[in-house]
Amino acid sequence: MRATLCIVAVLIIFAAVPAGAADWPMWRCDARHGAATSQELGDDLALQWTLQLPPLKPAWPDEPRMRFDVAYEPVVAGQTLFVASPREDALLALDTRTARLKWRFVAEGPIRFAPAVWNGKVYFGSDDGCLYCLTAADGTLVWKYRAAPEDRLVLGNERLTSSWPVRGAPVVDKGRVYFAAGIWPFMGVFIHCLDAASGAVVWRNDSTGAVYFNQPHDSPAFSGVAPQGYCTIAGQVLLVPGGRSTPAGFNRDTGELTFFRIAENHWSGDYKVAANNAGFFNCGNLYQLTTGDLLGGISSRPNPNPFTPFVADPSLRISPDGNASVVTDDILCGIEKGEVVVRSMPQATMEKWEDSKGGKHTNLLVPVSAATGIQAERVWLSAAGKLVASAGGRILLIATGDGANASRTVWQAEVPGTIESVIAADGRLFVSTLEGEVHCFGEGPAQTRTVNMRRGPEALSGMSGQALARKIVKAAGVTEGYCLIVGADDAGLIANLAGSTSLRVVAVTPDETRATALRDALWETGLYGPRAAVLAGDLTSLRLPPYFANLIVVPGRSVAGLTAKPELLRSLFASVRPYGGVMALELEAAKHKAFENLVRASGLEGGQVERSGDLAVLRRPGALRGSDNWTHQYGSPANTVSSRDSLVKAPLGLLWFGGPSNLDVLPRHGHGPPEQIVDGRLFIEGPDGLRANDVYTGRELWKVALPEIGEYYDRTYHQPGANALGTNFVATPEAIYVVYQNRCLKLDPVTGVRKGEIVLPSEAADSDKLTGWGFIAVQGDTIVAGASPLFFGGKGKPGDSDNWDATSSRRIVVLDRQSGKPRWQVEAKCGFRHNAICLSRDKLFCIDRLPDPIVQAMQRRGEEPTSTPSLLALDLQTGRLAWRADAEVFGTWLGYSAERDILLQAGRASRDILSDEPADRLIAYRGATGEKLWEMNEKYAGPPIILGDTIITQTISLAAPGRALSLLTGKALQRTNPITGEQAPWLYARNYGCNTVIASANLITFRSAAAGYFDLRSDGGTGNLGGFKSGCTSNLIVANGVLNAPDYTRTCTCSYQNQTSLAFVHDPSVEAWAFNLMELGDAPIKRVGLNFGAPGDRLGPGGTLWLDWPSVGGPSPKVEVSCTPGTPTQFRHHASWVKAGELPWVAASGLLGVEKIVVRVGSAGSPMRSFTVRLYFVEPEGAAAGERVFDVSVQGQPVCTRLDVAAEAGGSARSLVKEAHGVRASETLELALSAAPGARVPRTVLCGLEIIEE
Amino acid sequence: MPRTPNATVPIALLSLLLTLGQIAPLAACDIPVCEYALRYWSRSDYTVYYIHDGTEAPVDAEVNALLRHIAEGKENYANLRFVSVNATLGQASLTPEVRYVLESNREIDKPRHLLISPKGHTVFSGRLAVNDIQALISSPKTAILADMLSRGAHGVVLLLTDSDEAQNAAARETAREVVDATRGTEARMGLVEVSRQDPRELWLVRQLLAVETDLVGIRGPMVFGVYGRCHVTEPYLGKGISATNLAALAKFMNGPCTCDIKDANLGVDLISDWVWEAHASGTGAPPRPTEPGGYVTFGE
Repeated sequence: MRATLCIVAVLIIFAAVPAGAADWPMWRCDARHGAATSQELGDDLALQWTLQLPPLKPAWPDEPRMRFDVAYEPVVAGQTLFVASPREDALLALDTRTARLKWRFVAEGPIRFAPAVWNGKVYFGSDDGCLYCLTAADGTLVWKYRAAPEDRLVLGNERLTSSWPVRGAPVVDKGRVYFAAGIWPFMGVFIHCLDAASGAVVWRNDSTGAVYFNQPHDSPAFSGVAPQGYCTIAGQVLLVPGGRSTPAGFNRDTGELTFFRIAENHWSGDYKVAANNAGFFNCGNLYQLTTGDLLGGISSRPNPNPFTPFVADPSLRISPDGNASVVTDDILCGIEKGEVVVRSMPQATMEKWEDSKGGKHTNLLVPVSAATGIQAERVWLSAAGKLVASAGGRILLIATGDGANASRTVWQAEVPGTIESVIAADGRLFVSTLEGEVHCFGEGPAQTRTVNMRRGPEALSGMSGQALARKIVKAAGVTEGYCLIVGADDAGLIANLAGSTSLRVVAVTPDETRATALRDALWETGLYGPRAAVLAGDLTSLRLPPYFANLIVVPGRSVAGLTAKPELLRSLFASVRPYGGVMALELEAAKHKAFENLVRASGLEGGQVERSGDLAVLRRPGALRGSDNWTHQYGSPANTVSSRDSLVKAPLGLLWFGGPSNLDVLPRHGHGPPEQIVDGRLFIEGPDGLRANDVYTGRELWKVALPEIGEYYDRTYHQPGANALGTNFVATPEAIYVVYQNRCLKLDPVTGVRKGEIVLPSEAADSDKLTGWGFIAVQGDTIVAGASPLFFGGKGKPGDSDNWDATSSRRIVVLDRQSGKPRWQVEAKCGFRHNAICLSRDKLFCIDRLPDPIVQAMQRRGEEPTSTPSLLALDLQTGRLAWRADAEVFGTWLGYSAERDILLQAGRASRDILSDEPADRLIAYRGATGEKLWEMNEKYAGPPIILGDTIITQTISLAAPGRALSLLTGKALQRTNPITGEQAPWLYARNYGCNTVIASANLITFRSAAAGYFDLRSDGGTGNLGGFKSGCTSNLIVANGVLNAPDYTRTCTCSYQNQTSLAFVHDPSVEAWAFNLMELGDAPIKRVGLNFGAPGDRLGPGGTLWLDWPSVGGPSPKVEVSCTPGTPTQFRHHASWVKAGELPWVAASGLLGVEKIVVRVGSAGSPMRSFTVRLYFVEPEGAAAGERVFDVSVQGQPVCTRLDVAAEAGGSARSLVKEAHGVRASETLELALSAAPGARVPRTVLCGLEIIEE
Repeated sequence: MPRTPNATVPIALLSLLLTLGQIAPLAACDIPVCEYALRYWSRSDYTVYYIHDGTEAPVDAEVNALLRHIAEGKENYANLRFVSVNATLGQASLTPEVRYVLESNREIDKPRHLLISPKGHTVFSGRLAVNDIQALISSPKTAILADMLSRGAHGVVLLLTDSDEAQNAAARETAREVVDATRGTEARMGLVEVSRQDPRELWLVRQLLAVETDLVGIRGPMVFGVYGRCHVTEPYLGKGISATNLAALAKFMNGPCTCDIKDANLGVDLISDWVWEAHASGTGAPPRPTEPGGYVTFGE
């Protein structure tokens, strides 16, 4: 029986491979990525050559599900080996026989995926946002297609690249190349199918970045596909991998999204996909090809456990690097229980089964056709009947057995390093290792030829620019961070600036030829890529990110151009990093004064000019105007839970992404202290240390080891009590104060170096364990310590559910900040709850009260607390009692408004919080006197946010929205309904999220399934920043002019597509969609916009709230609309698709073939009113002028006769607005559209309808 | 005044995980606590950890097989898990839960059984025998409690007596007064007495004394409230066994469900092999309240 199976297996393997193919033209050989080739391999292979390339630093070093660029991933066509270099942005073409470099092509960003070769051409995508097509023979550029909508640059994974990197790697099939650009749904995602020969667009799907759909916690958000991985073609389906999520499926002919099911597969997904006729394989699961249905696992027998799909062996992972290492219609081959096993696909059957709870599951039962008995760690490929595997640092060639012979290893060789990729082509095996080497094994005697492409800094010595580089560094005093050279023409200057400092230099030169020359020269230094890169372009064509450059150098030849155009200088200065960034201009002394005047006239915020030898130095020393720091757990020692930063506002666009690893950040469920942000530095805690990152680039500035500092927060489970402990560090511009091992360390915020420490005075009553710090805050020249934290002996550990240990302190000690000497202290009668200690400029407010459950526990035992609760106001300098309240002391929280001198007593009842937090009472006091100002006794969630004269309560869900109260009166605030003009309670809400809401002047941030926000500035609803999630600690903090989103999700394995740090700045060009909770009731409509086919709501200019119709993007105010035909055809593009005209985000979507729209604007019997009606059009299908012509009437009156959108707008993708005034309507407003007789495109089009009462 | 910390404060990891997996409404509701708990609260498991140095001792094979059998739920519904722990394995091979148990019990002799409550408190540390198991999963008084609750008692006042009969009598009288006071009202309260010295109730007594970490060292009678599926509250003791306090207990068990999730409520489940689902469905309790939109409890 076994022998029969072996024969079958061999036959199957032979049958599985396409005859005659000897290339390995794309990742895993073909468009289905099966890793099977017809290439025959001899049994006497020997090492032919070794190619040494620089080792790679992957984009996501700590993300095991996105290891696509950890090692070189070559492909072969003919006798050419193509190797993409993510490090040096290059595609190398080498002779397969000798490793001789045939040609090299440098892109403008990292090339992180293997290229694809087809028909004498090679295709690859780059982080620069482009897809390239070169001739395979000589590397000549055939065409280049910019997939990104514009040249908007960001720092992404430590490189200056496009905001829309091409990380949906190209796959070529049947003359078409498919790929995707953009990894952040909120920025837009662009899936493409191009004609491979010409680069002409066959289709382009740009609508999948903003879809309101369920995220991995079964709660919806505006998010979308976030392509990272190798696109795959199987049958009629294009599969686009989604980073850490399961792939999305598209119709390969039309580009229509057919499935994307990350909520159902919430723990699954990675960048690798392979397919056969049974389905597609991804991250250990098998999915139905056309629907994305989870088919379960592959097994030999039914599976009783839904969480372990593979009963045969839990380690059986049917992903392209697991048990289905080779995937064809005939075989699956991989490692099972350490053995190379082949399974027969033609004999596979699908079995359905139910678990003990009635859950329905399927398994693909695939019989084993060959159990080879050969131990290995991984199977890499099938090559004409032989299998290539690896084990113990050796590469193995295995002939599977037949009836007469057992399977055997016919050849093996040792490979130095860790094998990461193996391909077979041109009669050879090419083995790529983690160490950056590619080894070639072929027939013939062994060779020792080594081709070293690791360049060294020795080339620097002969280069020019050394003296100028030295002068610049000396004058600027900048040696770290990012450096931009504008108008660079000297490779020596670039190389010497990079080589003599730690700067990462990016040079911009307007001339493409010059750029190529500079790249060639720099490549010789080994610096090209991460340390020195060259972009072709100029300041008018490139959109540089703001704030990123520690140093901008303007060589002499470029100065004139810059100083002649103040707008260019302003634009460049915007990229200088606040808090110390420098521009150095090679400027003659005689022109210095004029430059000073120019700077003054240009209004460069905070710019300071000085002279240093041949250089004019323009510094940006201070903060951004309108920005603010975030210095304590709740923003400030006043516990406002808000920052005053007014720079950050919606819409928000990327500033940078990537940043340092999350491995030294606390886990997400522990509710540890949030990051604190001061003067351009972000400080974040880990289990064993503290780290500082640059706010504007994400760059790690320093890290100090403080073993077990995060002890109380270092849990992988939810800790409802952890944020009642309080933060254990406070960041100020002068020092970081860190509570550590019963003392307070003072760290230098610039370097992390310890500058001193402060020890609390001990008390006779203290045991050794209780002398420590329980709380810390800094105000002016004082440090406030909660001393001797109280332990109540609760269950679990401090921070756990129902554990109040260390949430209060027995003493408050106020110390001099400079000397560390105690000034005064106060002893609690019960305990000072940490969240109920807050500071004004001159007072310390605190609540002395035991937690209710502790009091109840005492009462159960017949004991009574010895003291009653009190609220104290103490002079911060002396400790003298200013006032006290002994009645109505219920709070677990105090917050203070310095502007209004109002103190709030409240609770923090919210999600994932201690159970004693009050939720139905708020009292406001005058801070100076203790006079009770008002009281509110209604249900709310806390902690309350103090923002100007407003209190914003927390939202927990859509069903439990947050409210706004007047800080002055406690009365609920109203908003004007933008549609009816009527007053209604101000509410906001979110979807699922375990953190609490925090605020800044223009924005409330939180988690709402994905990262979320509410736009306060325009009262524009709840939106998302899709593609990642925020932490259970509130980590979306607005400070220093940036929305900071450091990765605080460590240990989360849910399939949010990206798990990384990032930062945002205001960017009006970014799409922003929201949902709104407003009710309309029967009130007549005064102003509304209907945005047909849009993904969500958006508040527009003039105060029009544009509603998505049909409503797909969460709750919207219900405007009654009817349409004929009932379900018209819709189209939708990213707003960037619209090239010109008003409101591109309205014109980007619409209805086709619509004949009538009726909008209810009033109730029955409403009086007749006059309206202005604005109609928005676009030509969406490329119809030429004269081809699509139609008439439009409103209320029976013609508005447009023979409207030709393409003709009037000047072409396709340009918005056109038509307006009618004095339109009379009482109950309904009717719009009629009809195609003109004889029109070549007989379908009407309508994008938006704006109705404004006159 | 606050007490100093107890040396043993283990984490109720299991309880928490179970809670995360359970769906419950966030908002307050009008369903009485007792009814809601009986109908909707799935019981939290106690866990028997068998800690050994690589191999399970042959002498423990039979009891471990029985524990596994129960844990797999093949024949009964006892809320008991069994976890065999090879203490010689490296940290990386152990789950966080087991790492914590080992860390908290470093000095124990091996092999050994550790019975840990859903709150993470140690109920027993030693070697279990086959004869222990039936008593562990069902004692006479546990069965009475379960039967009373299944038949419609809104709550049961459980008096744990000690050796001082005068103290017992005083506590008994107070408890009776409170229970009697509920007669004629909608509240249906029961009273059950368990002696610390009753050998048949050894395992029930151990569970009761593990409800809080310091109860073992406290003498005298204690009064617990029991509701739902034998969910027992923290005890009243000493002067705390007062009519006022016990009336408050009765009121709580009969009062509206004011708590968001089970984990925020008082007490801990007892072990029992009672088939609660069969009884809970016949209570005539109103249907489960619908969840507020957008709120999903979901463990990551």
